[in-house]
Amino acid sequence: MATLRDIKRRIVSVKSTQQITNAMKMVAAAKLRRAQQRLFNARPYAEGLHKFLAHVAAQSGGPSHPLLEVRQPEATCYLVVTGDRGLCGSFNANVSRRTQSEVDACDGAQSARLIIFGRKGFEFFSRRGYDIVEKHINLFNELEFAHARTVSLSLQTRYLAGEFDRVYLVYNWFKSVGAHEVVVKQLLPFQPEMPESDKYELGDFIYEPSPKKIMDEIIPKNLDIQVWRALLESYAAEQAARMIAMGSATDNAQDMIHAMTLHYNKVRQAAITTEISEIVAGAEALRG
Amino acid sequence: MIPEKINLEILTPEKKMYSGEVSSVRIPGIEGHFGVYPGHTPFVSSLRVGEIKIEVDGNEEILAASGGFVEVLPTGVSVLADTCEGASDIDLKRAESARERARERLEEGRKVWDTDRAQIALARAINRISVVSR
Repeated sequence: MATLRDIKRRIVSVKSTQQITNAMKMVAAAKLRRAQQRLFNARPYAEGLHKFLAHVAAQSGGPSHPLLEVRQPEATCYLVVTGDRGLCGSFNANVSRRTQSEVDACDGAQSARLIIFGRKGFEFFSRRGYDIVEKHINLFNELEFAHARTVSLSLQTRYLAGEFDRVYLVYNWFKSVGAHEVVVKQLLPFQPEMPESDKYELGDFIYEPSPKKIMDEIIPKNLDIQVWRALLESYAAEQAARMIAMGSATDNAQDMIHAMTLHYNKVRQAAITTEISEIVAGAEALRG
Repeated sequence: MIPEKINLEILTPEKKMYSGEVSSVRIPGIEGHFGVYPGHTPFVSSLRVGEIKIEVDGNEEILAASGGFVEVLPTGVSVLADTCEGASDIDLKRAESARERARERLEEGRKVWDTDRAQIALARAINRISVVSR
């Protein structure tokens, strides 16, 4: 049986772990607030641009831009957004596994290449020997639009050079603080959706300059924004996941401390009882 | 019947810059400034560097915009700007140093710098400065 001192030592150890998880929870909560603010600021623009693009695409008629053209898919590229750090529940594993199953599903005739954000994803895929063309590690702490833009530009160059014929984006969508969801989205060739309901007549628009020129300008920009938004979504989701994981770790530690303290008291009580009965027995024997 | 006001929304990748009912708005389109009043015909344009002038019941507000798109729909005007700031958001010192830098680069010429970019940077800086000094 564990001695009193062993139990005491464990309680102290769990307490110090609890302090760490609690601190991590606080830090994640603070980071989450900032990340969420940035995300919510960026969302309206991303959605506005998406809608606008759909309108213009419907007008310009047919795929005229090389980024819109559908090619025979031989090589596919996956842009995977994970985090740099662990201790955030299933956040990283979910994206990595989902990507892995997508890649494995279309394997065989087609090859798959990966562009990875975040150390965790890189570790996952490099260990398994996947073809990683680019990795971007340690940028989430100082996330800037310029990062998204650099990646988006290199993506376009590679795509136009024919390195791959399709590009998918895989990331954690920040649904709410309590929930994030892995999303797989086709980036290239870009498929504009038609506007849902036509409240106004298409075709009555005046364009300055031509629809085609506007398309040429908007499509690369939309790609930048899509990548940017995925990074923001993922970062906010990561902080939320960490906050929740660390919160429940703190709670679990509390439960453990409680149970061990009870046990400690019982063992102590038992030791005292034994001691008393020994003394009493000794006294009895002496009187005898 | 034409309503008295139009709904204006100015969005940038950083944040929602403006959202509300306005009497009119003047926008720097790629082929010249244009004003939008209620009942404007559907219109799509690229933006160039310039000032967006918003008028609400006789009060004017001026914002510095640099590039992007504008879409005028019967339901309202939405501006998708690359950047857009009001006078209070602009860092005058930064804009001035950007202006100097762009000028130097333009003088040194095409061999050393990308003059197109410098040209745009100069236009942006001048635009910001002029919005602040209003």
